[in-house]
Amino acid sequence: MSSAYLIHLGITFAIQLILVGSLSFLFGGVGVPNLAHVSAVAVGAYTSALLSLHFGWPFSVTLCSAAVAGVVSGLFLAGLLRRVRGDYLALLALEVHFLTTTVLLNWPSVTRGALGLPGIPRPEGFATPLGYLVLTGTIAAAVITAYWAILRSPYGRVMAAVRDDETAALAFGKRAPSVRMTAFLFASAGAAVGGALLAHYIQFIDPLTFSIHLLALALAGAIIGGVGSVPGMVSGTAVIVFVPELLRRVATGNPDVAGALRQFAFALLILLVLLLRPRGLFGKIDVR
Amino acid sequence: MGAIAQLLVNTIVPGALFGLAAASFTLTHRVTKILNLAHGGVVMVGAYGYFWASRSGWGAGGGAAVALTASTATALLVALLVYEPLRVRATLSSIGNLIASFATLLVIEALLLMGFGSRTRSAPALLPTHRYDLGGAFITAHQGAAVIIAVCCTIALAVFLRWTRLGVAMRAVADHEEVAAVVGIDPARVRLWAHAIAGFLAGVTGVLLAGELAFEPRFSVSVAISAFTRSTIGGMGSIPGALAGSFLTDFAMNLWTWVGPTAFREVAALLLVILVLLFRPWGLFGRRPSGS
Repeated sequence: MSSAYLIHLGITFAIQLILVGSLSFLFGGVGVPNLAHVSAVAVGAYTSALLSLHFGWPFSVTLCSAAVAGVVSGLFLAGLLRRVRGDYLALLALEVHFLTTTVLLNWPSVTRGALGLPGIPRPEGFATPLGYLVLTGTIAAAVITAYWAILRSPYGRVMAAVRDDETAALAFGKRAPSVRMTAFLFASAGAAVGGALLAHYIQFIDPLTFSIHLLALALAGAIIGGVGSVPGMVSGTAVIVFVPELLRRVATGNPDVAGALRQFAFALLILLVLLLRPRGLFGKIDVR
Repeated sequence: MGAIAQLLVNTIVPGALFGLAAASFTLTHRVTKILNLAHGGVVMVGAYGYFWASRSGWGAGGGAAVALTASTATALLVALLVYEPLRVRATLSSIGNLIASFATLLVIEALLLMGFGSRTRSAPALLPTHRYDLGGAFITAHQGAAVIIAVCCTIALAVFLRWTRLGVAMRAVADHEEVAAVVGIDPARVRLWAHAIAGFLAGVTGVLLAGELAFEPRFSVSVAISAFTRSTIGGMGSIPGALAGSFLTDFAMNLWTWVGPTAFREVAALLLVILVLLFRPWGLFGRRPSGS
């Protein structure tokens, strides 16, 4: 196991931790199954990539811009989904996900469509793999700590109340819609930051990077670890990062099959968790 | 004139096919309260079953039989392994069911990918290729047959629900499971029948789709979303609504293409479903909910 490989694993873990964590925060913290999560990731990635490619802005600026763009997309999405709950929210969100992919593919003047954005620069000062590991690790730790702090704060308890029984929360005078909106914004900001880190790591993004499979991966991580808890976020991310590495040992000649095998494994794991232990490894609530 | 006729053809053909998919999707939802996203996967199982059978020398009829058996069996298997066990612990119309159905969809898609690869495939049309000219619009024999078959199946489903004993039992379980049990209906059996019939009709859709366009496993997800969108627009739980909603959706998408940028035609469908959910959530043909 070369150190280069370990560093790569570390960076992947850190980025996935942000993606899983933001979804888990929204889903487990306030009960919103945001299947459009990857849209916020894409918004962050494209924002940061485009700003650094076209204007040459430094990474610190593009990262913040990505977070802002994520918040704006979260505002828009939360507004759209304001009136719906549960299954319908999840499915509408999934439709928004597809809409985002369509927009990314069919707006070549901005996104270069299917050609994607190549040559995304590494941040100055953190260009080496090890440097990037330090950067992503630090940002991931900061984001997760922020989520942890919110979840265990009094506000986190209000979020949990809205999640568990919105009517009761309203009866107690808690402004449920704005609680959900705020959680949405925090989650979208995190997802966008993760997207930006992803873009500057792999240095090439196209609409297919932000596919349903990225969503399935994040969802698997959130559910397997257990939504709404930080140990859940970490353990779930560990599963989704290390299972593919294990699967790599399964020799398959056909590259199609390798990807499909991974999808099969994650989807099956989600099913097993839902059937046998809906709480996941460390979850606060059952995904019922 | 020709353009309008073509618009009509372009609305009716996918409208009928996806209308059947939506109708069977909404059947499952009505009887089990589950938004069965795996339905999209079952449709593709039908498509690939037909593809495999035609490659292995079965004719059109035999191939369809293979496909329908495969799709019905898949739907039943999913019901037995995933949805029925989840009922034990889950509340109705919960997120757990939806995520489970999403995961099942992905499992089916992954299996199809592993079995058939990601390249697009096509299967022979049910009828020999012949294009008819209807007032300036072109429609192939297969497309015409597909529309007729899909619409007939949808009507048959509506008739089944209204007039047959099993259909009435399904509606009873759909409306009030406990009372249905009290009068001697076995809800579990009825639910399984609903899944089986939905799987059968999904297979029909798959066979018709297979002969019509080049397909790949990744279609599973878009078929599932389509079925949901169209049945929501038409009114969840309504069979005629599913068909009408499907026609309306295709009409809206084609109109959008006509007057606006071609690229974003799915935006039309999404806008339509958002408008429906915001202003008339019970859809075009659904009943306004009264009380619980």
